[in-house]
Amino acid sequence: MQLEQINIQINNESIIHSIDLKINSGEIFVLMGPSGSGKTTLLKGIAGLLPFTSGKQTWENGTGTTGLVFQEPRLFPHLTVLENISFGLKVRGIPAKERKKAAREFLKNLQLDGLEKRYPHQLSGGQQQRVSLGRALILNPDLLLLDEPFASLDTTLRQDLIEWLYDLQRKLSFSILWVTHYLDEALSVADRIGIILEGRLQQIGTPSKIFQNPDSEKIAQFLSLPNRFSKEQWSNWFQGELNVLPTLNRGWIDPNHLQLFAGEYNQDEDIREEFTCMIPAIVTKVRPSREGYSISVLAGNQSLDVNTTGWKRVPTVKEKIRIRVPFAQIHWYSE
Amino acid sequence: MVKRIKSPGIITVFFVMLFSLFLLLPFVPLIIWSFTKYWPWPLLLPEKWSMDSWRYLFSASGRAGEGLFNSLIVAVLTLVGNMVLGIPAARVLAQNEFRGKMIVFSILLAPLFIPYTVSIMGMYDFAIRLDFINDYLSVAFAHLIITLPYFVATIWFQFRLIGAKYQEAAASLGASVSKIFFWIEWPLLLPAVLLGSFLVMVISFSQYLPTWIMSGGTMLTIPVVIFPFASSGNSSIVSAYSLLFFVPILVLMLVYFLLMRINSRKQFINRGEDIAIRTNKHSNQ
Amino acid sequence: MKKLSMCLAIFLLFLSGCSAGTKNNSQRVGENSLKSDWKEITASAKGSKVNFFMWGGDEGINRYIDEWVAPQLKDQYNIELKRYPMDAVEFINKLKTEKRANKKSGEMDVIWINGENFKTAKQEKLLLGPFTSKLPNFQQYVDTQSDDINYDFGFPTEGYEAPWGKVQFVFAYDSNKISNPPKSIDELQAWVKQNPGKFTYPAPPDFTGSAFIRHVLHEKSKDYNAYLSKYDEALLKGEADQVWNVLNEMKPSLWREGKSYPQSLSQLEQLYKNGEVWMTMGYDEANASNLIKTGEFPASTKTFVLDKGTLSNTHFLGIPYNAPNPDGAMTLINFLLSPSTQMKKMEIEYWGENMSLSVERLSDKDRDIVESIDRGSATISQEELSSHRIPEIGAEYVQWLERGWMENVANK
Repeated sequence: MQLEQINIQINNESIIHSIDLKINSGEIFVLMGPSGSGKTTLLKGIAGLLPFTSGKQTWENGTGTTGLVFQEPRLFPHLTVLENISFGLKVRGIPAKERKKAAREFLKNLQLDGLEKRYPHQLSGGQQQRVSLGRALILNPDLLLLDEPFASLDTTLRQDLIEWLYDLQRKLSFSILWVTHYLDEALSVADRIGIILEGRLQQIGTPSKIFQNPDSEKIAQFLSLPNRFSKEQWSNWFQGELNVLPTLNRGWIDPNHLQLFAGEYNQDEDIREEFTCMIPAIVTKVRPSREGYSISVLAGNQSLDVNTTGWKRVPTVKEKIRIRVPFAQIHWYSE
Repeated sequence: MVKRIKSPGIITVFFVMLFSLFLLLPFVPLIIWSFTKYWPWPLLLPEKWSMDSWRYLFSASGRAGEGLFNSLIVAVLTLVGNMVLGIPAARVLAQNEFRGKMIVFSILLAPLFIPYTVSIMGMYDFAIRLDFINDYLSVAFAHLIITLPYFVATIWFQFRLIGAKYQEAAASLGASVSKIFFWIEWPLLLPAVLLGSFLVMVISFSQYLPTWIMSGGTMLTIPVVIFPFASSGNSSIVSAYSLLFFVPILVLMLVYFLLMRINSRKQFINRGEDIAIRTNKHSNQ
Repeated sequence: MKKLSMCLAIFLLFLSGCSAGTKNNSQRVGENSLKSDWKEITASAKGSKVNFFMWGGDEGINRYIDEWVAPQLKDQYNIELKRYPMDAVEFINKLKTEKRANKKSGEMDVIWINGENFKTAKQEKLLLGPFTSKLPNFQQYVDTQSDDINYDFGFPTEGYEAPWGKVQFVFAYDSNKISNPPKSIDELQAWVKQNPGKFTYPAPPDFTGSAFIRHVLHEKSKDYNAYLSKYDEALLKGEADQVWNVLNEMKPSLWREGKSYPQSLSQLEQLYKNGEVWMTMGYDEANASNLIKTGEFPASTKTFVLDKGTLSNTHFLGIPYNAPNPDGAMTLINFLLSPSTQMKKMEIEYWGENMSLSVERLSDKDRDIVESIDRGSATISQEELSSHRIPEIGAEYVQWLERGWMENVANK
């Protein structure tokens, strides 16, 4: 499915600005963006619930269908599981017998066997959302639109369902446009990620590409990339010109790649061959994490995050320490 | 938690009893009055009982059957009008935003606030103009104006409660506007439609002046039959008629609860099973 | 949806079909009826329907119409009679509205009116016209020369309405408590002084209370007959003070020291039923008997008239200008004026009200029947009633007195 120059206005207010997007068949495309960025509006537009103010929507094979799953299950409360799942078939005028058969078979895929006569309020949250997915999927949509489908579920259940849906998608190979604001959700399923900010699609790319080379500080900020500083700041710390393309004027480094040293001096520092620098800093916050500790430090007036693994001695707050920064681990991007 | 649901507190029971007493109490003197002509104040019970009022009620003069029949026809016509006009109106008001929405809303609800006499004065003129229309229809029309606000408000509230999310879901599954209405909105609306219909019929049953004016006094509904006796202070006859008047309302109430039960049976069957499912849900997944 | 609207449309058509049947049955225009002779009128009334609009607050009267008159009319004239309960003020207003809107064919064929309502109706041309001379029973049995037929509260009837019945004002008392009831306003005044708190009257402009103060005027006036002719305010002004004096002197000994009055006759009757007052009154000589029968009044209740007489008035039947079935209306009215129908009306079983016919004009047989009719234990004899009758005075005087009472008695 392809979108060209899509604009959507609601009550004379422009929500979506000139969006171009192509979703390949069998692909999971994750759309990320802060709330109010227009994700839901775009989905409703693609699903045909909202009109495009301008722009073109085309399909590879001429026409295509979509299925939309909302954040809440939105199951019809007066219909059973079976009736909910077969609703789309009923709309299409498929006879009761056939659609019941089809729905019953589909229940297996949804791992909902035996629940066909239940009403929505008799199901758990995860079951409800599975019915909601099934209700859309039974129509074999060319493109499944997911609007933060698991956001209201608790973490473990969410992860289970993501896993389940991912497997189902690989099995049935439909394409998905998946809106979420969870990084882990995005990373675990996405073939490609798109970042939408203020109604504009900012960057499209593979997950690693997006993280390693965010197109702008705005995206980096949205992705909450840690230890983001300007090239001048890095230059100050390395005490010299840095060998980076002139257009890339900012850089970030993962807290795991920073090393922490206690005291004034340590022999190990000089032995390293890599290009590194040492930054003196004061510890401001110490939090335990799975791997070790997550430590915040203040270097001059800049705050950095450092993760330690297997460090024997826990630094204390206000302790004077030094941080070693390996130049090679800094990801450079442009503002 | 479960225990508390099963056995309501003493205070709840007390208030329910108090409330039912409060509702039933007025019926006691009505029943007594309908069986006596004379029940002076300090007497706890009348000294002389008589069936005269009931006999009159069911005599040729009583017009009880005619009154009930006419009341019912008018109420049903009024209800049909409410359904045809009220449901679309409530739908538009609940789901659409448009210029002047507040004005339309206030016009629709106006009969609730405008002093009765003002609308009655207008109605006289109206009655003459609508003279060519059948009395049942013109009376039902007046009742429609009076009942529509209640009906629209009830339906509007339910539409707001349902919101747009189910309709959106149905639309995303390809359902047309009419399919959305009949398959999704109507079933979800049903409790409010039943309540609204009950209100409409009861209000229609109790109208005197609009009935009188629109029909020129020829439409003998129950209130029109009762009124002369009420104005001449004939407590016994009025009591008998009032009790008769409660029969259709009682029947309506029964029908209402019956329909509500049938409607909710689907959705709220097996509460116990529901709890069992919830406790088992983790092992299910 | 389509099916539903189809059903609805058919239903509506069906309903309007029904209405066409009932509403277009006015055979002839009213004026033609007035020109026809009686034979034509009864012939054309055959098989028609007559709508009778009348006050409907009395079971006995309603039953008299529905259970006796209607079947008889059907039998004898093949006319269907339908009674609609409505207060006179209301149907007069309805007629006014219809006249203003120039509505040619209305719903009412016969209306039950008198006094103020008749005056309004006649002045505003809401009535069909003079028709009583056409009615054989009117010609034969009604005393066409008497004042109470030719005047309705001082307003000439001129054949626009036919007398249906007569009522006379009587006082009622509990004979267990009062052995010797007063026979004049003076005696009443004395009695009230001796028995404080045991008498009161409904506050005018209540119909009964208003009539009560006219009795005071009647007794105090030098020449009551002067009030029967043209309205003369000076006449009343000159004598009104005496009326106020009597009432004001009575006031401290009235129920609740005259600080408040019953607002209606039914309130006064309630006081009497409760035994709070020992006397009541009413513009209906058979009312006390009726109420004894239903058990509302104690069986020891008796009635009396004043020596100088009590007011009596006649109530009438009229035909509206836009009556859909004037022939049927006249046939009905003629039937209501027949001796047998009028005698039935006198029976306490139904109504117990006096006939509008002249007893002298009845056949000997009928006269015997009249005398043997049981009008109830509290009703005084026909002879005593008719020998103590005084006519009503004009509506202007009545209203002036009602206003004057508010100023000079109630608010003093």
